[in-house]
Amino acid sequence: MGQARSSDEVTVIVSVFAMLPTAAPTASHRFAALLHVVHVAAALLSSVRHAALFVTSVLAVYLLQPATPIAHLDFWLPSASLLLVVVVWCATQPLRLEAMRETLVTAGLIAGLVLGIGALGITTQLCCVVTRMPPPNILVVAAAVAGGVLTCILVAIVFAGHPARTTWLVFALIALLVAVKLNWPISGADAPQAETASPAPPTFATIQWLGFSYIAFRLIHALRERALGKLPVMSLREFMTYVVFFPAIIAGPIDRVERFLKDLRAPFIFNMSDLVEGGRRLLIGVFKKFVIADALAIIALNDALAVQTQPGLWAWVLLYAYAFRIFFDFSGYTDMAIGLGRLFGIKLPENFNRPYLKPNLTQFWNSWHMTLAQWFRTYYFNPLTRALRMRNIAPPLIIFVTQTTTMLLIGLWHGLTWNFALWGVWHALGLFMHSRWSEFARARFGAQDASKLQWVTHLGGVVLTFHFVAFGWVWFALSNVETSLTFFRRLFGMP
Amino acid sequence: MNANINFYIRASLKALALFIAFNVVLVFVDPMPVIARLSVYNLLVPGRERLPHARQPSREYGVTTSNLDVMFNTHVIHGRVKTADEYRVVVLGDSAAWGWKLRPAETMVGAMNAQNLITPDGRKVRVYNLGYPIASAMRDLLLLDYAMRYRPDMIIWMVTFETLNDKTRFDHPLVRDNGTQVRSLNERYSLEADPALWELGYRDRTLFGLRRKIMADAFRLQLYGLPWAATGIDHDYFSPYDRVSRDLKEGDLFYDIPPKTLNEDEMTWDVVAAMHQLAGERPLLIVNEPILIADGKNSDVRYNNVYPRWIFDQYRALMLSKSAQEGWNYLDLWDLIPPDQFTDNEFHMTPNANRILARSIEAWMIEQWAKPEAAMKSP
Amino acid sequence: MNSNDITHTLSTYVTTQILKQPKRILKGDEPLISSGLIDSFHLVDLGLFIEDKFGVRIEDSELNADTFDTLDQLVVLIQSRQ
Repeated sequence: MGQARSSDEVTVIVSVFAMLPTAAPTASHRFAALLHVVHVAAALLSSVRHAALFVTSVLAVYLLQPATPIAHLDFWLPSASLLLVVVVWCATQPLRLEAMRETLVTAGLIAGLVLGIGALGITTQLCCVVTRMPPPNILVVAAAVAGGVLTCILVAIVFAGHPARTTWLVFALIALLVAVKLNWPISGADAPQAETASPAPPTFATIQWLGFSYIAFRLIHALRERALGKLPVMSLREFMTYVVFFPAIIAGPIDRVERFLKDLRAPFIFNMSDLVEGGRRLLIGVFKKFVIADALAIIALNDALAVQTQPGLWAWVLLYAYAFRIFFDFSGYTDMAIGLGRLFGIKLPENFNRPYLKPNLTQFWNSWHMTLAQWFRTYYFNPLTRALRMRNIAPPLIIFVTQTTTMLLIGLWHGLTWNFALWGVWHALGLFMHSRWSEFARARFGAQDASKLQWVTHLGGVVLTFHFVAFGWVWFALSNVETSLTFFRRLFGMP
Repeated sequence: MNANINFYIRASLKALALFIAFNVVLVFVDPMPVIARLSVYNLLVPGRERLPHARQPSREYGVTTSNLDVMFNTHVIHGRVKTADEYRVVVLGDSAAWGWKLRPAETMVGAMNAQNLITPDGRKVRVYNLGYPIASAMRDLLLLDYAMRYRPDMIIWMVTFETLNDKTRFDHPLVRDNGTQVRSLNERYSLEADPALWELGYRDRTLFGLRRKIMADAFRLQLYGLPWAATGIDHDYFSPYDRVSRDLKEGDLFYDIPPKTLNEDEMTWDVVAAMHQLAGERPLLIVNEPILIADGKNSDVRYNNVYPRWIFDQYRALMLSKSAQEGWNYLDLWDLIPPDQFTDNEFHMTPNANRILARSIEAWMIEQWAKPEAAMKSP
Repeated sequence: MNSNDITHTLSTYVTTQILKQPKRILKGDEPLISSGLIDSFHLVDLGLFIEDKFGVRIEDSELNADTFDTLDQLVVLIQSRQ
């Protein structure tokens, strides 16, 4: 019933527009033919939705990968992403003969796309249509694809029926994450150089692997679910679409595979409701990111401004600007992702829930980058807390250890620098202080429902929490400890 | 749900209609004078000490824009209402006057303001920097014409040969982008400008063309007012640069021109005359700005890598004779500054050199005020 | 156990062990997690308690407001798994 209504709506809209140029009555059967075509097209598009999403997402991994200083890495990194997805799929899915044909078709498609992108390198006009720089030699690519296939077969054999072995892959992914986030010295040959005679000192940079932080976390999620025996059975095509789903590649959200599959497997037809909701969300995201956030970026705190600014008022302006800039930037990206997903009937989870209006830090962390916080709770905080609770350790100590390590890891997930670590620890301390204060306040003041005072404490909490988070952003926004300390001095009027 | 979707469709159609109407209106109406009036400068943040010009906006906290209203609305001259006790001096010129690789306080204008001069009739002298990169007499005429609304009492014009060289007279971006004003100047002073300069095509007038860029630049310039206020930075004067070479290239070409006689009509005397007409009763001083006189290789043939001796000597001679003939105030300071006081090119000088330059000009100003016939005009 | 008993047991546990406000009365539709009343640590404790008391396992991935936020929702969840 719902489906029929949706397609009727499409019909109505299209027919209204079609009617405008063809007002003549003799157009009536051209009209009917047009409506029929539209019906068929909508139905067709809906049935190929999955295939379309799959292919687009695989290509998007290459298209969105930024150029790298090291040659060919902008081809190999996306290829490695795809390989990791297939490997994890092979390691977590039971061997099913009835699915073999579909798996081979999908694998062939992936291999074909990879080889195709590599083959573009042979031409001169098309070479950089997908990747930024020319891809490596096609023979090398072919060898790599072959190697990848063999790896996956091997993995499938080793891991079939042994869910506990997936832990090794989890460790491998974590190690890979660490490696990606480390600052590697770029040798002189690869770094962009000035034309001075003296050799440039080695510059350091992290490997710019598009979306890898998110991909790794989705893969670890799948591996952990498999170890717990809770991973649904799915095709390679479904899993690949989930991990590299193109709206969520750049900045998440981190969806859960079961929820994603539910939407993906549901019968879908293009309808006005999804189009309108998705379109609206997408537009809001575009506005937040490209208008508000990019304008705020001009007045927001950064390394240069932190040391250049006069002490006092202007430092606070820079700080507030950053706090709002990062919110609009990140939530804008999330809105775009959710909007795009919605256009195709995938309802991605929310990542933000008015974080700056929360009266305490605990609730802030329930409303900022929600999917990441949830991931860490599910796979680190909760299991660790359970384990520690079994032993006879005082709860405050457990809270301190678990919260601090969790926030530290969340900080380091953003980058392996002292500043990100300190940002994490800052929030951990705040959370711990809030939890102690909460316990104290509840015991001391009881459940006072004095509504007069409540809005005052609420407002005070919001202001306090916002400023605590804002100070935390100083660590997050700047790249080294010295600059951060300098800026803190500037905030309080000292040079 | 039906009502919901109808609402969205109606809204989208309305938006589309508005967008089309907006563009049609933009073809006929220029919103910039109104938009330019909205400025955080001189209101929420201090005015800029010099006209905005930035090659790297994110580092220099500025935007290069050609819209005169937007440029001047950020300038400190716009914010300061002229009081009875202010003696207003404007300085025009190229990047040397603007202060390339210098903080505003280190420019010639900054040095002059630091002196806190007082005129004989007790007015405080305040100098305003209206210099702008790339020498161009036509550009300076354009800026002076605009600046007259701020009622200057004295005009100091820093020139060099390239300012008055006819070949590049209409080449400056500010001249190209301000066709309407150029047309008006052309008519007033018969300057022979190319009409193509002020004919903006329909496409350029709409949102998608020049006007959209102007509005976007104006908006960004407003945003940059904040880091400008927080840091006082309006130019990248902190990056290292290579010192200008005092060993010169071979040959005696001026660009690709071999030695020849410099004709009078190769100079833009009509623009200079127009400047004087515009200045009216106000004293206008033309200064031949200091240049690098190199002392290394080939310096017997060339003064520096821009000027071979043959052309610069002829230029100086022409300037001297023409200004004597026309009764123009002219100060030839070409050799005032020793070669080690030049920074990244043949015209940009150190703060120290700018102080020396400022003293010379101040000396002329004081001399000027002392003359009985230069009766100090009331503001 | 009927749902009233479950509600009472849970409510008592939350008010005495987590909130440390034994006299407090929790409403069945009062948001517990999204309001910050029960933080992540105490949520784990609650999960352990439910496992002990009702033999119902709530997974790590389910200890959040999307799975249950109020007492009523929690009761329904427990009953569905017994």
